[in-house]
Amino acid sequence: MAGMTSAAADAMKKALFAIVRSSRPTVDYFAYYSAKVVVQSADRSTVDVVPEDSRLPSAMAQVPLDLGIPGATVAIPAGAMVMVGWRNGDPQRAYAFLFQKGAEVFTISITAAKIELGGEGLVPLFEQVLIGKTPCQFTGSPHSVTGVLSKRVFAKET
Amino acid sequence: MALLTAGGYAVRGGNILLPRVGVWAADLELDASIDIKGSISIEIAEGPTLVGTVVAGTMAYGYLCTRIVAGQAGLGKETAPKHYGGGTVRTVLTDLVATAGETLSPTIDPALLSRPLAGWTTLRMPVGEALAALVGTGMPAGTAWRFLPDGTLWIGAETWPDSTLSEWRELDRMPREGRLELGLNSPALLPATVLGDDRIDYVEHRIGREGARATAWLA
Repeated sequence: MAGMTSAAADAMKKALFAIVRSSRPTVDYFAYYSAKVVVQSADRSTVDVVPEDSRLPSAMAQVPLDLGIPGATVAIPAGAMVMVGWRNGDPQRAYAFLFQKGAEVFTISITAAKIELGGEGLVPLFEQVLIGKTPCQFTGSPHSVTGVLSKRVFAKET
Repeated sequence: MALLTAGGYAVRGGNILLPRVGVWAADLELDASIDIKGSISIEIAEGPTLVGTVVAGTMAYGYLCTRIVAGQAGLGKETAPKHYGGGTVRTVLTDLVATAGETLSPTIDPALLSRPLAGWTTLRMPVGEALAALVGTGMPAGTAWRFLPDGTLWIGAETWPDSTLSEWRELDRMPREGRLELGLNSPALLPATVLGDDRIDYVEHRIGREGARATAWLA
């Protein structure tokens, strides 16, 4: 903008910014917004929320709750904070996710063929604690009791 | 007879912008000595009548410069944010149109309005933006929306009828830009019509001393 007065340059910039602003949505379906959970459905799959941002509806009912972990569900109390967004920016596909740090959780449930806690590729009998161990009656060294052994949940002993 | 009149006043000059998708508008200079507000009809010789609303007017050099926008000029109004657990296109569209104070065209395909929506969230934004989002994501690809000459809001699939203009002069053709310069007897060419072999996407009519000229962008 060489040769222009500062006022003229400012006016031109303002006009340019106005054009750019007008081409952008005032509120965005690709953004995420904070909301408070009012109630959760009995099957844990949806929540009714109250968004904080006044540009959103004052209440959104039965919003699908996507934790981002397949097979996982949570039971949460009213008042938990979540984020609300729209999958692929589609206004038909609202969802809630991402609980705020420190949120209270009643129950976390995970349904999976195998659940490993504390490590990956845990080996039955050697690396899991969900089996019993007892001293050998002859040598005194510990050995595993395999009568009731979880084949689904594996957890590192230490 | 004047090429066109608006509110009963002869039009000395101006432009009429007619998009295939969106809201038509006109900037016209009227032989009027009083300010005009509210609803107005633009009568085009050998053409349609455009029903719109005066949104701005200024007296200058003895005539009235007006800006006229289709229908009730309501698509700039803010929506009331609302979340729908389900419903149909009609449910959401009816709320948007009511907020804007506009009227839906009775020529909209009822099957389109009956399309189910898995849900819907209307955020606070201009009704025009919300309408574009509804058409863009809640309806089949290629669905168009625009204000018809009668001032009603239409949504649907294009049928590309003939323009029915019997006479026009092609003053210039710019194939790379997909644009035509036309001389017309009156500003009667509408978008979403076929002129000769060309599908018209957007028309800018210019009315002046030389009569009616138009720039047409091709679909």
